[in-house]
Amino acid sequence: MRAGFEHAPDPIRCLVADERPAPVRHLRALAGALFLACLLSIAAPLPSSAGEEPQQPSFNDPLETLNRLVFAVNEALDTVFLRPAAVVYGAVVPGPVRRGVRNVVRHLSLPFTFVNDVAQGEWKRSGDTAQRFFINTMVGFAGLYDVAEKQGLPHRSTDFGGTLAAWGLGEGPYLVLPIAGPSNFRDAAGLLVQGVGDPVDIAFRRADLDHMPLIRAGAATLDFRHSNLDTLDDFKAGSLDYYAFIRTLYRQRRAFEVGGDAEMYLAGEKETSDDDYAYPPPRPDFSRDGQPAGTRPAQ
Amino acid sequence: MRPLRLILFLPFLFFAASGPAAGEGADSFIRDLAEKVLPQLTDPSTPLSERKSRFRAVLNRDFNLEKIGKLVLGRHWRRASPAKRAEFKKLLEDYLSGLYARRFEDLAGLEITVDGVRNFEGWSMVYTTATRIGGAPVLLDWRVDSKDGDHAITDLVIEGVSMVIAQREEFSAIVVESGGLDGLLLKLRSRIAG
Repeated sequence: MRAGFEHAPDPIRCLVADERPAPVRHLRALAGALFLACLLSIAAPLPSSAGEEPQQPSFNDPLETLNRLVFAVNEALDTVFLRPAAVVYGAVVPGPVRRGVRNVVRHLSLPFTFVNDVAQGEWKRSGDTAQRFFINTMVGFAGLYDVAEKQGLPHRSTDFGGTLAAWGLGEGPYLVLPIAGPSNFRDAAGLLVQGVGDPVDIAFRRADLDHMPLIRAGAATLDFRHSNLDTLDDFKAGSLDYYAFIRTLYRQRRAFEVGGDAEMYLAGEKETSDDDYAYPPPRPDFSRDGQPAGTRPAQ
Repeated sequence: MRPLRLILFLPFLFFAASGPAAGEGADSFIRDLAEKVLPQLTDPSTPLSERKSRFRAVLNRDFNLEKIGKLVLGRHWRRASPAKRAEFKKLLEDYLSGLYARRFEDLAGLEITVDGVRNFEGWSMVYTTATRIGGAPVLLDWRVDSKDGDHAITDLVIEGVSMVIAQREEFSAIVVESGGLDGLLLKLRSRIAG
């Protein structure tokens, strides 16, 4: 999963909607980069102010005031532009076409996913990604049809934030990016790298197809927002503090995806909770026949 | 030959012995819940009000609401008076009933298969995969406390997201923002009433 505004809901998307995370968003990466640059210049003194309130629980959110502001602006933009656009997209564009859009968007994310698989030392996964890309390019009409999925190679995504995590970098403070939504310092840096390093976008630009990265980002955003219409409506209506809810979903989901963070995440929790409750241990890797394939660490 | 064969079997014996010891039957408890209880909640021929009261009964019987309440309040639970705790417990039950009752339709036709179990002292994680027709599989892990053959769910982890932790962080944010537990109780009350 990765990228843009879509971030927010991604955790949940997997709970309810049928879709797994979409790929890279160029536009948002760029916006994120700009914002991050501004932020880094003003952020430094802020974290210390969190110490004023000794009973402050550890949400890993020293920039909460700023984050809530950006979140509110994102929400307003979503209400006015993105959500209506997604509703229209669902009403006007027939299902099979939407399916094709999703397949192509995912397909184009595979080269960068492959780079990250390799950078993370995930040899098996990088092989699967390459195979998937090859099959769907050749047999799936340049990714329009997802043939590989039927061959047991379902879509999987990773991103540079995940690579940084694999290299041992912690998440850093929680961060809400303008337009791009929930993130953290590490994942925002990942988006930045993605913004300049995505092989497909580089190829587009080399071929003088400068508008393609933008179209691609737009399609990915629409696809994501559309597949999460009900989920997000539900969470918005059901939660008591939507911001706090999305924050915990993002952080838990990321910890689950990239691994390694869960403990750090909970180290702060232990002080505030008087119970013996701890985050459940990493899920064992169960193979298809239901046999535990050993308990690998989350990463 | 014989000793060798025995050695070959040792790991299996160990595996078998470590299985049922702590959380005996936690997996069949979840299996029962999925196969017998879930259809009662999603059956469209039963009026919604009836299904809601059934769900409330399930919450009270198969979930450890007392412990969930404690966990989601965290340190605020410790500081709360007995009266406040009781009120919170009641509100939590109402809130959760309302929250999940809206999703009954989505749960119809949900198929839950148990992938495996890990047992710990007094509790287990039951790992399942939930599949809806035409939908992608969702990883659904249940944290089950077991005592004397009785089982009660204390947490549900959906694709890596612990509902208890999610609820705790949300509630905690409200307590901090409103300056106390009363703020949270007020918010819960108005949500339930609305």
